[in-house]
Amino acid sequence: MSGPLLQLSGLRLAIEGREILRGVSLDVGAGEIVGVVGESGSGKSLTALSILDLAPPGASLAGSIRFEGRELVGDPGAARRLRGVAIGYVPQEPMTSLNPTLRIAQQLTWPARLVGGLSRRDAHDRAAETLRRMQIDDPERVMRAYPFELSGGQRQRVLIAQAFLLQPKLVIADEPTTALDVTVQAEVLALLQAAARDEGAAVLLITHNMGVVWRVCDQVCVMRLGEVVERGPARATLAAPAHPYTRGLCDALPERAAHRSRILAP
Amino acid sequence: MSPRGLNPTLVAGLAILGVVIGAALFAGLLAPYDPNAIAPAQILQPPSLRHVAGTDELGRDMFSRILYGARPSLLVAVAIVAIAATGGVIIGCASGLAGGLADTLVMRLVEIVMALPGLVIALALAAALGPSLVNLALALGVLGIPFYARVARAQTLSLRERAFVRAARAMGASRWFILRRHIVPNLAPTIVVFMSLGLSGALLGASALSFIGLGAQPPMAEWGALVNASRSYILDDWWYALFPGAAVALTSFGFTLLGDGLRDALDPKAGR
Repeated sequence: MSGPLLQLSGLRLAIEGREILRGVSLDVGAGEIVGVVGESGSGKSLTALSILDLAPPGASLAGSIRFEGRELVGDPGAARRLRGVAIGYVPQEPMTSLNPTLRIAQQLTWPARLVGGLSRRDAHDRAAETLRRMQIDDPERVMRAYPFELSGGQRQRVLIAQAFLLQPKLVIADEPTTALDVTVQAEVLALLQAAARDEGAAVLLITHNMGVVWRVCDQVCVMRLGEVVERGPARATLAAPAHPYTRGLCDALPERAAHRSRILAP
Repeated sequence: MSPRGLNPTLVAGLAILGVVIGAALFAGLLAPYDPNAIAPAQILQPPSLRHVAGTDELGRDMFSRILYGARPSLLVAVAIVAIAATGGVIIGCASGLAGGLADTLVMRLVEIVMALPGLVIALALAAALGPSLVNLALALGVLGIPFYARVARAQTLSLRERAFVRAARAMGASRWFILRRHIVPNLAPTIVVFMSLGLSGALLGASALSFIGLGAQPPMAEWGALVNASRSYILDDWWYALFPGAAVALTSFGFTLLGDGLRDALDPKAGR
């Protein structure tokens, strides 16, 4: 396939006349992990939601979003058909992103059954298999459980499994580790990375954690006030940021001081 | 929603309703007399060992009539609430999910219906449809719809912004799926509490309409109709009005306790 898997160019989004995204351009190549970083309100999440045509009502979108070369802006049906099948989604909040009244099995398998058209059996088997790959030891027990019986880390694994269940080409992960504690964060990130590698899926990873970008991303895209201020290969960009804002973000890292020599050393 | 166990209010409500429902179910076994058997020699007897709740103007045993009367009274109350809740949840959820102009129009209509004096309209409806228990249930049921519609809509508006609904949309869920799997199960606790509280009002409303002759027709033993029949004798024969009236009051009280108890048991914010 020629060209990137996902290509945003000059994406603008305005809500009630207020411009939130002012020309966002970024590329995600097949199998690539692309980090989108920036402070709160920089438009990271809205960029992700726009790709899925889930921007809040009243938002007007301009510019171009191409997925596998196909234009999505102005064709809401196209984005909707990609949801769950070609594009998986991992939400930010594992504690509230699962319906408290449904067993895990139902929540995990519905996209496969409704959107992917799998039979109940196939969906169930695939869900169990995917959970096992997410290092959940006893998938059958977890699938019988209700969300309140699981820890945050387990829930986020369930949500990642759901996103990867139908072998999507792209997974959009909206701050998937923000709500987890640090040790679990590392595990979940490793799982996300491994799943992407095994499936050959690209990941658009939204985060405000530069450490996460450093550890797992191939490319990085730094956003500020609805604009991309810098993009490039992740480690090279973070090691030698060109834009003052990127430099500021890097210097704001508490770990930075400790790791400075290692990151900056040739 | 994890079970928080039984609280005293809930237990009291369940106990009262257990007795009433038991009476309705086993009226055939418990009643000492045929509720419609006329006994000219036993007219308007005060309570005694033979007739614990006395007899009416045709010598029928009031205790037996009250036991049998529990059946239509409870059935009508349940039917009213079922009609109101089903209609209200469908309208409220659809309106809340649709949003925009449709939502505005539906809600204004709901408010108009709510502004009407319920019992008077029910009276007119029941009179227009003809006096029968079925028409009474229809009239009161339809008039109850707006209350459930408002509650269901308010819940839908907050539920549809919840993270799990957003996540489901991002994974390709249709509106219908979200309604069925995400909205309705999560508003069920609220609606159940509302329904059990509503049963009390439905019982009173149905009894009131039967009392003015628009519900159960003679010789059917129904509590409102029994109180109605007692009107002419109320000054001389106190027991005739007292026992059916007490049955209505007790059952209504039981439903209210049940509703309060359920609310405390199901409310995730209460307790502890």
